[in-house]
Amino acid sequence: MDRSALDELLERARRREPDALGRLVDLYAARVYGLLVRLTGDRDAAEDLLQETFLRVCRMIGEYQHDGRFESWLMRIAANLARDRARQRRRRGVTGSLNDAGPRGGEGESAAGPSPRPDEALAAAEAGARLEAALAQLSDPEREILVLRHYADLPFREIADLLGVPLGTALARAHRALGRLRELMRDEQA
Amino acid sequence: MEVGLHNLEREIERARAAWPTLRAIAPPTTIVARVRAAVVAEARRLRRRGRWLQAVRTFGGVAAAALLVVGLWGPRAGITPDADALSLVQDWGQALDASGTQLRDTLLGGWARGERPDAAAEVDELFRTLELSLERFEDL
Repeated sequence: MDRSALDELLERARRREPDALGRLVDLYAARVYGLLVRLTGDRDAAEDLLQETFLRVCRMIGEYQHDGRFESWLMRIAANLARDRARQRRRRGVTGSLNDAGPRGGEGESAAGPSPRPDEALAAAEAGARLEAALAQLSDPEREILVLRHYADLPFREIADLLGVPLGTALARAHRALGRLRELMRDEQA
Repeated sequence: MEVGLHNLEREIERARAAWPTLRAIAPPTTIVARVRAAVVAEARRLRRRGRWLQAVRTFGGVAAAALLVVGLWGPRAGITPDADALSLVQDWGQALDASGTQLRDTLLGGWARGERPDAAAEVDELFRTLELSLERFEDL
């Protein structure tokens, strides 16, 4: 969707036109869901949080100041909800794992962007799967920061703000997480 | 400190650039449909509530104005106004009307454009009437 079409759609959504808000779900549900699955490690939770994310968008869209970063704003809402859920679970003493968060029976999986050649697609899929497996072995805070940067595409300053830590802490955590991820991927290849 | 953070960020971004793309995980279509329906229903509910609030604001304003009138005049309904005071108020109102009319006539008559030789006298008279009306008001 080009910039002016998105601007117009967001303007209509700010007026709470049901069709416009429904269209935002169509456009961004997959991206938000991908983030939520990776942050929660639980598809059922991701489905519930997906709905809660878009309901929050519906209620808070009037507060959004359009500066061309709608997707970041949306991802922040989703990430905040995932963090709230993780906090509640920690309080209740429940732990989760990303290991069972893969696609269910091939349902719902899709590749973004233009279709590559079959051998390239296979190599990319294998590399993606290795990365996914390595990510799943990281601690929650390590995975969270890498997913927010790499998948949600949030800048580190926004991530630090979202996590409520200084920028230096966020960068140091990301650095450590990357080092560990590299080790994990190397181990898996060996 | 700032330079150190900047270098660290650049290093992280370089390492990150070498990552493979994480695959998209699309939600099941039934879930997207459910979310869409919930969002559309919420948007409708919020629009209805917005219209209702608008109506409450409008009628609330009218109700507040009505209460104000009742508050101003209601408790005084049994009081007989003093005849002199009433007369003074009427005089003051008339004088104010007269000064307003004079001002309008003076301006429309071209005083503002400097076309009337007797404009200064008219303006003096205008202010005199106005002062008189205010004096009467102060006497109330």
